Amino acid sequence: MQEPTFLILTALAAEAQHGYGIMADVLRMSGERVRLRAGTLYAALDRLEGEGLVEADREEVVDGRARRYYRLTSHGEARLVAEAERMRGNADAAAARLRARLRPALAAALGAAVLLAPGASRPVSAGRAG
Amino acid sequence: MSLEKRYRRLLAWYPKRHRATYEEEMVAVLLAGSAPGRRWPGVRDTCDLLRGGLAVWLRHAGGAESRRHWHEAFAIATVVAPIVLLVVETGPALAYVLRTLMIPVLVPEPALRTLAMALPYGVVAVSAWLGRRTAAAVLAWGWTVLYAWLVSSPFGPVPAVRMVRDGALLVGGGGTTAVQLALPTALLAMTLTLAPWSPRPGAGRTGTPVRPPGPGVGRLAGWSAAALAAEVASAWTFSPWARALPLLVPLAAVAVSARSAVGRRAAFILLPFMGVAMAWPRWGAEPSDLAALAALSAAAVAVPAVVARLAGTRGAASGPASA
Repeated sequence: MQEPTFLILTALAAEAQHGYGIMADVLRMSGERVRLRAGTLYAALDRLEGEGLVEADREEVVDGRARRYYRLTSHGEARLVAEAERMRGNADAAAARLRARLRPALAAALGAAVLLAPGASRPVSAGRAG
Repeated sequence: MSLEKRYRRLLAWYPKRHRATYEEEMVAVLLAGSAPGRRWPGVRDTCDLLRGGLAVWLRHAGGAESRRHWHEAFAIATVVAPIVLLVVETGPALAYVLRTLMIPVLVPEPALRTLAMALPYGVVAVSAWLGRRTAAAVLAWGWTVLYAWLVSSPFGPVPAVRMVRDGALLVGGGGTTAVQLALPTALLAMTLTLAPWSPRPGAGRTGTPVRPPGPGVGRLAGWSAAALAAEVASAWTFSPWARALPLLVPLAAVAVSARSAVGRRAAFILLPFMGVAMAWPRWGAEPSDLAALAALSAAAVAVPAVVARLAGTRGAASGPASA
């Protein structure tokens, strides 16, 4: 799932929103990094409606113009949950690997500290500890 | 022109069905997002709308509805293609018969030979129209081989009547090669072979192929008669404008059919075939050009067949709404 699709589904996760609302919400959620434009948004909505992930909720008329609200379907919710789990799994894996990478460096730093400490006599075994 | 009108002009690039659902909303969103006093759409918005339109077009082209359109288009194309060859072969023969009636020196034999050589296309057209596409394909391949042999054999029943430039009628091959003459028939056979079947709901399980709704007899007869009249007129008249007559009928047919999704697809399927069938005396004079043209047109015939088979398969697997 591409990031704009993920963010559109996320924008609709809590409540139904109209097109402009989705654009504003995605901009806010992404820390102003993802700015959806009308062409991208409505191509995505057309696709997501076709795939049964999103459906029309209701229509309102504001300033003489029809405004359609979209909501997440149960199928869309399941897809978003699965995608969020997948992303969380990836993020957890990355965090774990980064911790493992930091550990020898930390141990080496600790070993150096022991070596420099007054009265240190066996620096080699301390260096192998990590 | 107002900003709204300019946005609508950009949205005209989107498929009709998409516009019916989203156009008003998109205009509202675009206007809400544009700075006050702005008169022209921004470059980024324009690029985004064009890209979005392309994405929607591509998605719709691969959808389940598109699949049905492709199958119907193939049902039309597989009947129209043999009719085109029938008309292309029969036209000069009829023109020759008319001239024979006026100039008694000419003998009617070449015209009869040409008509006899056109007959298989009529049989193929009727078979395809009745939904017997396998039989039509076998007939077309058989005729391709026989036709190539006939035109290349010095003892065959050819020469038949051929039309050359400026509407002049010629009895004989006119220096054309067997490949050049048999290529339209080979493309017809390819189209019939590659055309996808559209199984009727419920009938698919038994594997019985069922013909999707084909073109109406009245409409087919009308266009065929117009094409035949144009062929005869172009062979009969010596004025230079008459040369364009046989091209006017298919162009008009394309203009009429382009208004529907099925018609546009049928025109796309028939494009390489029509190019080869209608313009045969003018192309492929060089053997190297001929080989390239034959390969190119065969590839162009295969493309819509592949698209028609792929369309709707992805959508059917991805979600309940598109099934």
